[in-house]
Amino acid sequence: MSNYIILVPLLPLLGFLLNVFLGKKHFSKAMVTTIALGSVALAFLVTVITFFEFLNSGEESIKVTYYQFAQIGSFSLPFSLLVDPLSLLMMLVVTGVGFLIHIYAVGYMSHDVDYPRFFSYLNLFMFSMLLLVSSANYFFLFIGWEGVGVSSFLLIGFWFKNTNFTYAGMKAMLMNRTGDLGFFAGIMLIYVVFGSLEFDKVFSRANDFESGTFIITMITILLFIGASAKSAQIPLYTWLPDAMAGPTPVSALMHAATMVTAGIYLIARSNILFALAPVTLNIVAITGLCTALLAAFIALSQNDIKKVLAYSTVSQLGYMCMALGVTAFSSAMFHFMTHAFFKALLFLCAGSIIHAMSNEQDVRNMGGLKKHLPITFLTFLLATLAIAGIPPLSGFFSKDEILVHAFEYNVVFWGFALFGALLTSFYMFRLLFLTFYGEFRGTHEQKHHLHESPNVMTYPLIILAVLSAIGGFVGIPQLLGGSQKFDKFLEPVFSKAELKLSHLETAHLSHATEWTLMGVSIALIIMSILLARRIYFIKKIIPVSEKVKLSFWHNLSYHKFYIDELYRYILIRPMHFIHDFLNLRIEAGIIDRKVNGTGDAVMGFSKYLRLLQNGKTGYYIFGMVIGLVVILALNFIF
Amino acid sequence: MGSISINYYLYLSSILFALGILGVLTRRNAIIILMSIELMLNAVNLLMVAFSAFMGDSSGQIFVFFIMLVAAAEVTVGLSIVVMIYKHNGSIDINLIDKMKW
Amino acid sequence: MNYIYIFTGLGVVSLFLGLLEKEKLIKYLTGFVLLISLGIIFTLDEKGSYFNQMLLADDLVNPMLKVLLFLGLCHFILFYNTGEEFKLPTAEYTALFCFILVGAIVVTLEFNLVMLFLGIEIISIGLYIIAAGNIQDEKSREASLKYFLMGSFSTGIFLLGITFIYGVTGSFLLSDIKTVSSGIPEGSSPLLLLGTLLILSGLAFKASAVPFHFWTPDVYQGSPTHVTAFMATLVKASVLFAFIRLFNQAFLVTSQTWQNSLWLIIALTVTLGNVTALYQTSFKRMLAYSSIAHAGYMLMGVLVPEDPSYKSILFYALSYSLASLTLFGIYFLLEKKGKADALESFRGLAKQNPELAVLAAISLSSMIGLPPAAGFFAKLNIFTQAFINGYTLLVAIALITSLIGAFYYLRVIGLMFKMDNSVEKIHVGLPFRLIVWVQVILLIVFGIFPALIQ
Repeated sequence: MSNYIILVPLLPLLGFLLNVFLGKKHFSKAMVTTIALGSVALAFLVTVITFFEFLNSGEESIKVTYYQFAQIGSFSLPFSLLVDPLSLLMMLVVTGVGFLIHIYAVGYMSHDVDYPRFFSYLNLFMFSMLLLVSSANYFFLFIGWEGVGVSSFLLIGFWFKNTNFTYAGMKAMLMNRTGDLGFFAGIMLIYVVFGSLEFDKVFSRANDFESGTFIITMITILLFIGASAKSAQIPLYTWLPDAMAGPTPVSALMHAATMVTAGIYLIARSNILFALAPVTLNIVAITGLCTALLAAFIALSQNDIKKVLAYSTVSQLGYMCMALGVTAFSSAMFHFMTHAFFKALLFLCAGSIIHAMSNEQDVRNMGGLKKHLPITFLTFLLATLAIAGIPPLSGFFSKDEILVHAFEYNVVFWGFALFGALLTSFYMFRLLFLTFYGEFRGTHEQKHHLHESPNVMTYPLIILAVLSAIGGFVGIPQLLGGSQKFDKFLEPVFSKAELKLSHLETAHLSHATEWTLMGVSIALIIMSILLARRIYFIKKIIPVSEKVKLSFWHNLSYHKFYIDELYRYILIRPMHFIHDFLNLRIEAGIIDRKVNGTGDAVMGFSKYLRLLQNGKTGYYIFGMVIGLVVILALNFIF
Repeated sequence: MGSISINYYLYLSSILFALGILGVLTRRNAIIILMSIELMLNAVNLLMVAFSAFMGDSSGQIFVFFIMLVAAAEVTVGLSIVVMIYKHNGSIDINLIDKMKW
Repeated sequence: MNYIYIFTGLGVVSLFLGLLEKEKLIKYLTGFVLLISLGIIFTLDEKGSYFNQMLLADDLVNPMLKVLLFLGLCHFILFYNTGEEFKLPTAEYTALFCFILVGAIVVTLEFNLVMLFLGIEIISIGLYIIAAGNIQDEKSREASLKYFLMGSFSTGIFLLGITFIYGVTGSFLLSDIKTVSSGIPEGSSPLLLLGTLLILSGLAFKASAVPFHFWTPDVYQGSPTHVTAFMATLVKASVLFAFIRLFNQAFLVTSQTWQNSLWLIIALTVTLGNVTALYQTSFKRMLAYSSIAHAGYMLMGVLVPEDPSYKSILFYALSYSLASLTLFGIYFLLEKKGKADALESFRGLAKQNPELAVLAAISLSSMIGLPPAAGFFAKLNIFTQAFINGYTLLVAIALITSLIGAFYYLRVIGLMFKMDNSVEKIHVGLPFRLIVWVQVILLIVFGIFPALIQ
């Protein structure tokens, strides 16, 4: 079945093509839905079958080459896909969670005029993402990478009649592009250094390199730049909150579960390269931690439900990044999986709420929704508990693993990471309390309209909730008597890297330490939950409206640390200035003259050249003879 | 064939050929040009036969038949084209046939 | 070899049927035969030699035959309803196209200078005739005359070259030529050198290389559009194949002699072709200059003495021909609407006929060499081969001129998408549509799977 793996990206591509060309005019809504959902469902099915086959086969990785895409001289570029634990994991999550979100979107977008267009874009995205994670070489990974960037742009700015939304799409695109530059440079370096872009070749040749080789460090830094743009790390994260302009299913799919994890995937895939560059690993870890903290801090004071979730995503991505940086690769992937479950769930719930509240997104106008949206409430509660890290939900296991590894790396690190976890639980519960408890604060009409979402939207919620609850059980640490299936599954992918790093291995923690850590974190988390409860539930404090003056720290958090404004100041304003300068003085003055001059010269040349052809046969033949004579003469004189 | 060396044939053919080219270049009457082209082709024929004889290989002479065959076909077509031009333009002066230029 | 019989037969039959005024039957018959032949060539490879190795069908030949027949079929479908408008009725056109196709097949199969000569002549004489397809149109007559005069002239030169080669090697057979000339030390035989150069010049004429290109703009412009389409695609492809056969096989060993001259020719060709095209207002003339330039690019493949070069030339020829056919086809429709032969006829095409505009745009971008159309990979291949073999300067020249050339293609694209109210909606017949779509899709497919063309 592995040979059919190409179906996984291909089916959504077909869905895209069918829907984009024929969907609007020729297909009924039901047809569009069937194609869009069907393709993803089938892709999921293929992935699952391949997965089980793979488990049974006991292989480490299977590379399927379909055809030779290009062969120029010694540069050979086959189109091949890779079936290995990492890619299978990604594919399962992408198709599985993706499918659930597709189902949800049927309900959410049912009133939208551009229904076919939406689903065709979704399929395009699925195709790109699946290509990205299943590719067996950097080239096609990059193609998928670009593809998700384009899809992201299209989907964020889906309701393009609103220019703000399109700006958001552009912002996302631009930031992504910046990262892509780095990524592309990294790819080129990889080719230069390793002579190939195929994963198997690059990684086996990497084995021969010494740790700390400069060029490898360069490569990894460049790859990280690309990854940080896609996965919203400092400093390229500001696009993600703005990306909330897109429809909520989009936010759920791309900006929670899948696209933003592309960067994480990239680093995980290139683990051996990163293992050879400790400097980069440190950078990755620190960046991850800082991002996690910064975003969590900002999330504390946001009032838009989707923005809170967006910053939460940035923060969680920071955790994944940090995990990669401390070489806890499989922990990062574990957290990726659990995060996909509960974050997608959170977003879908948010969508449910927004839908019920007639497109209201400000939590200050919500409250007491517990009664009206019971299913949404329960699932949201579950997801919140998961993200906070309460056992035995999935989030607990993955977060705990990361914290343990952080502790192994550096105690201070762990301290900050734990602090971030506390912030996480705090702001999530804040969100929960403000939204679902207390008195309803919205308008009369909104109250009238409140209703639980239709089944097509709630079923995915329930499934995701179940996954969020039990998803962690594949990774129960030995500590608690588990078998760490998850780690074992991913082991082949990371084993070589682990070997390289073995000299850096710090001593494994004793069980006692682990228990302590676990206990400490659970205790503190519960305390933060109680604190949130105290503030928002018992004391019923509601965030104030814009006009009221806030305290310093509050201000800082609310205004997102003024980072956007900072960017505008230090990047955009000078950019405009330089642009004006270059444009007027240099561009118009000098370069334009030269370029236009060249163009005019060529045109002039052409004008005269064509007079060569004056229509007279005799002249033509004469020209031929002259040419012949010249050729002969040249040959005989030399 | 022994007494006259191949060089003389070469010279003769080349001169004939050159004459043909000259004719094509300098003349304005389409039919004369046609004749000059024929001259060129015949110069080639001559040389081909000469080579064939000197090397004792008859394929050259066979080829001459082919050339003559093709030349005949060419002339047929060519003359009909010239006639067509004459019928519509009233003249076969090639310098006057220059509606397409530049 | 069978194909020669088939198509000669078809041509003769068409003439007879024309006598009996059974026009429709001719069309169906031709289409049918073309389809069958295409089917056969794809399932059964031609192998073996005929007439004592005068005609040889080896591995080099089969892909070429496939391409030829396929292009022939496309061309036929695109333009099959031409007979009525023009003076030459269907029978004659069909017969002549068949004969020219036979000539092209002979050129493909040839392994002997005699056959090469024959094939080229069959093609040329056929073309002289149908270039004058629009007898009423003075441009057409002029084109025919010019082509004839200059063509015969170059035939003369070609023949002289053959004679010299014969004189030195004693045989017409390409393999013999190769053997004998490898035994001759460099520079000791001026006759060999002269012969090679003369043959080069003669063939260069057919392929529209500078400085033997003068006929191309006039003849392309003057001939009826479907004839031009035939010339630009099938004929060019066959001539280039002849180049490959000759220069990459027979004359391989004497490469020192002709490579420099070819280098010069190529440099001049790509420059002149692209630059002169910039200032053209006539679409067909512009395409003529463009085909000059493309011939130059394809010739770059001849410089490289290796097997891959053959594939890259073939690929280039195929992608160029597909794009060309599409463009000529679309232009043909525009022409029928009564506009003069001008670029302006493309103005505002997108408004009423978006489908056509898109198809034309894709073909044009293939000609420019933009991914993901096939033209990009074709150019990439040829340029890389040349580059690897050390022709850096030439590649640079080719790149620059290619860039310059992009302009006139882009201009057409720009014109098409200007939303001016110009051309009214053109009703396109189904077969035409079908084949154009097929062509364009192939262009894209080959752009994505370039390795497919083996």
